[in-house]
Amino acid sequence: MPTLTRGQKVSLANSPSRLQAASSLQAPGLTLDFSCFGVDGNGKLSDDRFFVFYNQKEAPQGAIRLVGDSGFDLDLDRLPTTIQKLVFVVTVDGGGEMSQITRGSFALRSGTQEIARFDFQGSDFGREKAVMIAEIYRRDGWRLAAVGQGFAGGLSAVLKHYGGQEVQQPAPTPVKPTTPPPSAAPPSSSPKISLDKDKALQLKLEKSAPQLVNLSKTLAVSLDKKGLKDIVARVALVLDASGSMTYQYEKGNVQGVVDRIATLAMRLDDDGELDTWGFASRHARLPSVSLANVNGYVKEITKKHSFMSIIGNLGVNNNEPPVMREILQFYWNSPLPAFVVFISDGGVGSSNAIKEVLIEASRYPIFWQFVGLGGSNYGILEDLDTMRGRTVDNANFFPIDDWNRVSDAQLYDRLLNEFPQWLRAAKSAGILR
Amino acid sequence: MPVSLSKGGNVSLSKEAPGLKSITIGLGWDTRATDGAAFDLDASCFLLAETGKVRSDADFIFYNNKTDSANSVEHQGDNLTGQGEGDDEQVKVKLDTVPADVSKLSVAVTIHEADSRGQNFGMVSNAFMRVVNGDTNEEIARYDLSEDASTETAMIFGEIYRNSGEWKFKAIGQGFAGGLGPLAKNFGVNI
Repeated sequence: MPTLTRGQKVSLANSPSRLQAASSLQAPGLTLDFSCFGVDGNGKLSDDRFFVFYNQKEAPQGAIRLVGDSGFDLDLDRLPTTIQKLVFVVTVDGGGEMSQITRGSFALRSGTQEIARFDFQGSDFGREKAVMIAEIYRRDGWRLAAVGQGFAGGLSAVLKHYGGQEVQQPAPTPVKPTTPPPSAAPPSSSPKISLDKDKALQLKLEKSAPQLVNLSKTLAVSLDKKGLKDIVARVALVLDASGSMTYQYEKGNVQGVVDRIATLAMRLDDDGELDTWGFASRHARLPSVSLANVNGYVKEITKKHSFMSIIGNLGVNNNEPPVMREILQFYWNSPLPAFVVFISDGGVGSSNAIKEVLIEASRYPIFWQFVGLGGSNYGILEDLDTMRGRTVDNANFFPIDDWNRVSDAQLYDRLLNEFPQWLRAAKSAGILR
Repeated sequence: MPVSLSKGGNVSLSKEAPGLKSITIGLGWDTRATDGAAFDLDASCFLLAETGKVRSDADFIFYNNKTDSANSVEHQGDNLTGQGEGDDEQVKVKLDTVPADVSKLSVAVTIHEADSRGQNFGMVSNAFMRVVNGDTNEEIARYDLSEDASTETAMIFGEIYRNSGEWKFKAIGQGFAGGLGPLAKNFGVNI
């Protein structure tokens, strides 16, 4: 179980051909992408199908499979001889650089047995955003090298280095995961690799939640417009469950809200899950919304006598401050910015208490986007722009009178309207890295 | 057709190029394509007596002492980046003027500030040492270090040595921990 230093190489002659490669990074405020390039004897990606990453999770014959976000299952015996080297690349997401990581590691395992590991830290790097962390290559059998060198230009630069061709415009059709042919088919020469995260989400949705595919396309346009394409954030949703909201739940409008904010979370959130709360007189943390449960989510949480029932259990009145306090407690030390979408149908009373929370929260990485849904009397929410005493302007509000008359594009544009300004302000105030 | 050596192998330069008077030792490696700290590799040459040590500190030929007292060995200067085709650094040797009590020239490459930059020879690719006939510019022999490199920060690439009245070239490819200072000390230089 050797621990390698940068530049060191070890033989894998005595290791099995089925291996697991895993990578981890400790990096406050940053997330990681892990990809694998299968290159030929000239060090080139002559066959795109052997570039395995978030938009193409498996190489032919299942020789390389991305498992989760940070691991690969490898079966070296299934690689064609044209593939001479597998290069494992770690990319930091969210606008960071490798020098910002606390520490990281690459480990090669066979089952529970660790065959070799390579530890590294931020000081090993400078402005690199993508690092070729290790290589498994053929030389009298397979060998492993700890590399630890990279590019400031991120994954695109790595792709270019290996001669791959990236799609420059969002492609009209998604990259299809290829079904493994019996023998290696001739590689395609047309550029077809898309590194786009919007594309990645779209592919995921097509499989598990096709009803959200169009939403994700609309969202992509809004994110691009607002300069938020590379932002990684925690996304939260707070649902008003007071009695007057009953109509909105029954008409499916709340499920519409959940669909739209969950899609946003799947795109921006570090774990792709939407942290959710409900409030009326009381409040409760609700099950997080993810690909697995977004379909029929509202039906599930409002089911009578279900343990998750909210309408019945939380009372009938509006009591915003306690749930806001809980959210403040939840995110105050988050290394990522938190984007909280707070749905209310009005009747907002506790002005001073809400103001107090917002003032306190302005020192922390939390942005509050209040949305009025078919109500009136929004009270203090309508005066957010002039509220004094805050470190930065950390909240915005807009009302939607009729849910069915707001287009998805309008909705996303309005939701994301002040978030970019807050991100900049919070950064310069030292609230965010 | 130049001779290709593998690690440990040797060739008689005098036999391969009869009448050989001078040679150019060419050393090369690939510059990094990536964006981290640059690599600065330095070639050096030690004029060694039968004892395996330098006769004096002046026999340590490197970027700050480019020639020996007999002007027989001349370092062609430092290439800071390793860019460009062919040799990255060269050492010229007038074989017939090498003092008789020098029996061996040991040719090494070290990585400048390797520790602070976290670099080693395992990160250097396609390193080679070749010997070219100084009069005809024809390559006589070549040694590609390829996989032999490990995590050391100094590397003895090869040796040019006397053997029964001939000059021979031996492929060494031996790493040395610690860099240029300790390597020089090892050869008896007072630094």
